[in-house]
Amino acid sequence: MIVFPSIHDVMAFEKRLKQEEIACDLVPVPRDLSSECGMAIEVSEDDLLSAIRAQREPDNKPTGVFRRTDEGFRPVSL
Amino acid sequence: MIYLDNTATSFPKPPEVTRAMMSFMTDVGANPGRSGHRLSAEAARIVFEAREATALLLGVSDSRQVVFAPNATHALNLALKGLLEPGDHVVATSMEHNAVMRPLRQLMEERSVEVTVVESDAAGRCDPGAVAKAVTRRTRLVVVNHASNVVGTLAPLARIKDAIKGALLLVDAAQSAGAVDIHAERDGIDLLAFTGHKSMLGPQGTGGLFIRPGLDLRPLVAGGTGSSSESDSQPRILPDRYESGTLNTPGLAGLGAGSRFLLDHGMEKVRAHGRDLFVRFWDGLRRIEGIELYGPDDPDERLPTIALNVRGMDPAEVGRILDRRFGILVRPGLHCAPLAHQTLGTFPSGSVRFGIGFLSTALQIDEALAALREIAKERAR
Repeated sequence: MIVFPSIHDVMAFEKRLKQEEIACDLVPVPRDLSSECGMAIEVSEDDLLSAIRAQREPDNKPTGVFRRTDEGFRPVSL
Repeated sequence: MIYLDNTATSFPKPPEVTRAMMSFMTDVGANPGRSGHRLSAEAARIVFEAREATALLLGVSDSRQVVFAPNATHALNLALKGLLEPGDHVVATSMEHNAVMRPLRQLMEERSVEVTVVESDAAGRCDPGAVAKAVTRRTRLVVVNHASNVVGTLAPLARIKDAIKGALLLVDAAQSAGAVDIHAERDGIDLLAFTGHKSMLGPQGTGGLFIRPGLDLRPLVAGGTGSSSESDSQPRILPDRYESGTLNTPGLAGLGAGSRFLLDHGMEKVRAHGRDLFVRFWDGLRRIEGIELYGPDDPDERLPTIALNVRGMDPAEVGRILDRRFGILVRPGLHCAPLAHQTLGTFPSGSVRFGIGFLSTALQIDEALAALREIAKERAR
C-alpha cells in the first residue's frame, strides 16, 4: 500500500505505473495509515520495488509504504 | 447564423468537448478522489488529465502548479488578493480588463495598495521600457494583459519580465491561452491566469491560475479538499491549497478535451489559422469606405480580435443590424475595459468587436465583409 499527500500525487503515480505496465489498484486509505488523502495505490508484493523505482519525479514521493499482514499494516522501509 | 463572438466565449466547441462532458455526466458522475471507489477514482483521473493537458498548453512542467478556478476573473482575484500586502506598489498597463482593474481598485481602498498605470500606445502596444520605468523598489507586482480583449494586441512577456528586474509578473492570459503558444516557465512568469471557455475551447465555468513553484498566496477560499482531513488548517500542498470544495468536474472534463484538441492540432496550426483569417478580414475591411479600424496591422502583433466602427454609427446599432439582418453575432460596446478604450480612442462609445476563433471559417469572414460593405454603403447614402 503506497500512500500520498494528495489525490494529484496518487494520479501522477498511477499514470507512471501504467506507463511502466505495472498493475496497480486504487483503494480507499485505511484509517490507521493516514488521513492525508482519501486514496492509496496498492501493488503486489512482487511489483513493489519496481513500482517505487518507476517514480523518478522528486516531487511525487509517497509519504509511506505499508505491507498488508494478518496483524494489520506494517511500514516497509525501502 | 455566423458566430463571430469568440472573444467573449468560443462557439461552437469541438464535438470532443461535448462528448467528454456527456460521458462524465452519464458514466462517471462521482466526486473526484473524495471517496476511494472506482467512479471517484475515474473522476480524479479526469481532473488529473485536464490539469496535465492544461499545463502542457501553458508551458508548465509540473501540473500541480496549475490550480483550477471557475474563471480567469476568480484566478486574477486569487493572485492579486492572495499576494498583495498593505503599502505594496503595483504596475499595470492601460490595456487591462476590469477583472484586473476592479480588484486593484478594491485593494487600493482596502489595503492602501498603490497602482501605477503605464499607457500603451494607440494600437494597444505595451512598451517594456515604459513598464520598467514605472517599477520602483517598492514594486511587488507587474500585471500585464497578454492579449487585449478589445483589439487582440499582444504584449511581449519575456521582454517585460527581463525589464522589471525583481518584481513579480502576473499575466492575464484570458484571451491568449489556447490562441498562441505560451511558455510560462521559460518566460519567467510568476503567475498566469487563464479561462477555459475562450480559446482553450472548454466550457464556461472553467479556468485557473499557474503559480510559480515556491510562491505562496493566501487562499481566497478555505475548506474541504479531500486531503489532510484530520486538520482544520488549510493544506499547504498544491493544487489542494487553492481548490477547496468540489470541483467543476464536468466542466474540467470538457476543458481537458479542449486542451487535448488544441495540442493534437498543434499551436502552430492554431496560430496560423487565426493569422490567415485576420489578414483576410483586415485586408477586406481596409477597402471599405467609412470603416474605422483599431490595433496593429501586423498579424504577428495581435490575435484575430478585430474592433471597428462604421463612421457615424452607434456600435450598438451596427451590432443589431448584423444580428437581425445578416445573422452575424458580434459584440458592440465597451467590452469591460474602459481604460483600453481610452487608450485606443474609442471611449465612451466603444466599438464593434469581431472575435475569430479556431473553428471560424474563411466563408464566414467573407460574409461578414459583405455585410459590413452593405451597412457602410447604406450609411454613406
